[in-house]
Amino acid sequence: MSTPTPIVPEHFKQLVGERIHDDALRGNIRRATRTSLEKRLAVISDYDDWEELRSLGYDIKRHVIDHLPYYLKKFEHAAAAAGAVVHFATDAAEAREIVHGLAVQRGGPVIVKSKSMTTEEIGLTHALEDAGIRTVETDLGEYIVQLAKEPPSHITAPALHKSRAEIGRLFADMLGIAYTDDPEELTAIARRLLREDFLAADVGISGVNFAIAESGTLCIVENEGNVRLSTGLPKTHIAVMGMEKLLPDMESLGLFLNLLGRSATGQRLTCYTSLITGPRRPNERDGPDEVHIVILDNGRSRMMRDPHLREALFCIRCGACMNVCPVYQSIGGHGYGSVYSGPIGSIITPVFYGEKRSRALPFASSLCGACAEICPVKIDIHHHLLWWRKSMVGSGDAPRSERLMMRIFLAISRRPALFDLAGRIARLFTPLLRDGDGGISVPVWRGSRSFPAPPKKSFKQLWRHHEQRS
Amino acid sequence: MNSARERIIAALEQQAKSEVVAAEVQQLRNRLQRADAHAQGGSSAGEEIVARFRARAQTAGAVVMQAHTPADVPGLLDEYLRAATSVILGEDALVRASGLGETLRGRGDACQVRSVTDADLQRETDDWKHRYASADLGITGAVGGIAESGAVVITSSEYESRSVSLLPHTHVVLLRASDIVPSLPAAATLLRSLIMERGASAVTLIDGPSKTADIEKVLVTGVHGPRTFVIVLITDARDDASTGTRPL
Repeated sequence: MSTPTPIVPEHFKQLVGERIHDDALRGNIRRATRTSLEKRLAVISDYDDWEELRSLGYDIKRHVIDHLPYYLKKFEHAAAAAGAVVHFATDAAEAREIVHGLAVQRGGPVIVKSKSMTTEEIGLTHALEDAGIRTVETDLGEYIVQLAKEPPSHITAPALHKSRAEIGRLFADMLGIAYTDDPEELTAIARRLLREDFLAADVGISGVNFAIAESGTLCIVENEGNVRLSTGLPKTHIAVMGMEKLLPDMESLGLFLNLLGRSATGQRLTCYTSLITGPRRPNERDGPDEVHIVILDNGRSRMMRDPHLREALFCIRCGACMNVCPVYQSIGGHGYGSVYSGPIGSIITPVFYGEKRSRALPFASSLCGACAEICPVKIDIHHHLLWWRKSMVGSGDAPRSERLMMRIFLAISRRPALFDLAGRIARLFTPLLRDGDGGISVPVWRGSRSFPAPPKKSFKQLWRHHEQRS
Repeated sequence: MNSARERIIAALEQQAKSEVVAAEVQQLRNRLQRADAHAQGGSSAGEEIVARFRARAQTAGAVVMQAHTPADVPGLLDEYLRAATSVILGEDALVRASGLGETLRGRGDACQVRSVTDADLQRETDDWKHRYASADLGITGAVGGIAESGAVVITSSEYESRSVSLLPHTHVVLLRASDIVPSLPAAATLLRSLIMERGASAVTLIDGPSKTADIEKVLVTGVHGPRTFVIVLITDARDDASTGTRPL
């Protein structure tokens, strides 16, 4: 499934316009992101050299991505030896087809699914539902947005944009229960309804946080227990993973779990960390009979080829860059109009959905660099955004008017005499455009910013004056 | 093998560095080990580690109790045992050594007591999941603890099901204090041995009761898994001869 509407500047402006004045929405987002950031700070102070842990995270990821085929084959071999079935999918359609095929053969009244950005990326839940297979998102946040027929708005907190009152009304409308806005009660209602599905399902679907090459193990982290229920109770477990999720061994897993929990939710470790290696062994009491692992490319090998995109493969989907981003805090995840939102989303979305369709995203950043500073694996996020801008403008994606303006500027700025003349003209006429704030209003910025008024004298004039005096 | 696999691997191999240099891997391992030792403040004194484990497990929402020997456990858990009307017990050595089964069965009809090895909890039986889901209390042993985060390590085996620590309302886990390691990287040896030598299909780290903050970041426990999570630390497990060589 592709992004429904291309995120070109016109569409992006509309998305932003709908949200930028919504104080309630912005309040919800600010509260949630601030809580995560404060909790993160408290737990990273456990370490007096957090920077070295981040550097190590970067270096281990770089090592794995540099040698991806080696680790991929090693993982495949170990997982198969443990009894899992490994599938490869070059794109989203292939991945959907594999999962659909498995689900249809195995049947059951419902599929229970745990939260996974990769399955969002390939539009899996919609595809299964469209094929008439009831598929329930079981993470509470995902359950809420599924009821609201919305996509998740944050990597780790899908319903962070909604207030308790909105969720209460949603539950009352969709589930036919009496209205309550008490988080305890709402959670208890979801628990009761979802338990029935967990006990009835024959197929469970999950994502993957880390795949351990040495043992063929899938590592999945969560707080609620729905991953354990989705992967442990049904007869078949299907895991969908991007092929960049690999780690060499158990030691590096320890490091990455420390980086992920602290960066994502400010926890030292999430409540449950499941290490799943193949299906139930014959002597074990319970667990699935089959484990299928779908390894997804979907543009990742292209990212590996490109030095400016390769680092984005290091991402462990913690969401810290969203929490800290001034743009995200103002417009929320839905403001980006893409599955992966926030700073990292603006780098990878053009790869997954096409550059032409994602043209606005690399520009949805102030380039302040807070994202790169917080990233637990030191991805140089804002520089990669800058590179995307250059690449998109270079391939002619900029509007004709902008290109014309830039060409005129280039022509003038290359010729000192012409530049002087243009400056003189500007200083002469711009006072006519002066706005109330001491700047000048430029129509293309639509009143959202004002352009600084030019000084009375140019730098060259001031310099000449200075030299004459001394 | 499917053609997608061949296409993907071929495309990657064009880009990848040709061989994994053992020295590079070793260098990363050494750095990780140094960073981890530094992070733990260089100290690995047993008492300090146990104290840190207790504090961090409590921060994560666990109830932590301390017993001297396995035989002390039933008395310590009295409040939980009396409140329960349906209990499922793991069969690992530590749970058996605690005598919890005998204590509970001694209470007669007031409490239904099952073991994970009982016939009506096996996968071939109808409604086995429902029996797990209707239990008040699940009791298991742990195979390790991680001081850095206060998490316990549990494993699937012939003697422990995945469901016993997940479906009942309360999960009580017994942990030997001597099985606590300082950090996650330091737990790698344990995890590797459970997964690669013993062949456990499901190893789980548990850090507190099931929880969510998906509604306005308000913390609610017991969203899908146990609402209450109790760790009983056993400081001197060797006192009890029946744990023997500590099979799982």
